[in-house]
Amino acid sequence: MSSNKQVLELLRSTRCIDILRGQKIVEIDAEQTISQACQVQRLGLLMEG
Amino acid sequence: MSHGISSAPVYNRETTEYVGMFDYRDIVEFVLTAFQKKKLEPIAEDEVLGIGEIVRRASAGESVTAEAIVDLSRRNPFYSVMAHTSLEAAVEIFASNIGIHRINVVNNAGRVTGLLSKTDLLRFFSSHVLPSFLL
Repeated sequence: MSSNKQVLELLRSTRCIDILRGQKIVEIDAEQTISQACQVQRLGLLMEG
Repeated sequence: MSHGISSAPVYNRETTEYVGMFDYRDIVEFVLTAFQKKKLEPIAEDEVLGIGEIVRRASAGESVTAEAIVDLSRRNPFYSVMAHTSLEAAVEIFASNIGIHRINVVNNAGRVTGLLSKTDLLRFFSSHVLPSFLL
């Protein structure tokens, strides 16, 4: 790959999900308190680790 | 944050919609506001709680929900793309919205399946594009 056209083609043919394989997503419930939400972020890391 | 997670999407189960991103900068903003170290900003109509109410609750030791401080810092708004969206489109979003650091990647059910960051894009460029230019 050496031209801008080829780079553009690569960007067009690669889906966002393709480069996020294996990523663990952490989601926060809107009703959680701020301290609970911070705890969820911490648990999320433990799951990843 | 030291745990490696600085931002996460906030989901409202009642409305079945994402209401924004919970970001460490929102927490900092909340603490500064709650301790009145920062001037109160005008309240947007679509905010769950006004700043004044957030301060009142915090001062009274009452709980404040994550939803109430979503995007309090105005630094990490919620953007999303479908999982099959091309990287070209994602690059355009990052390029045309300077303040964005992450884009939520959602599946057909509308649920977040990943977070695409500028760092992810740089890694991709580093491993797929740069080597060929250096040859």
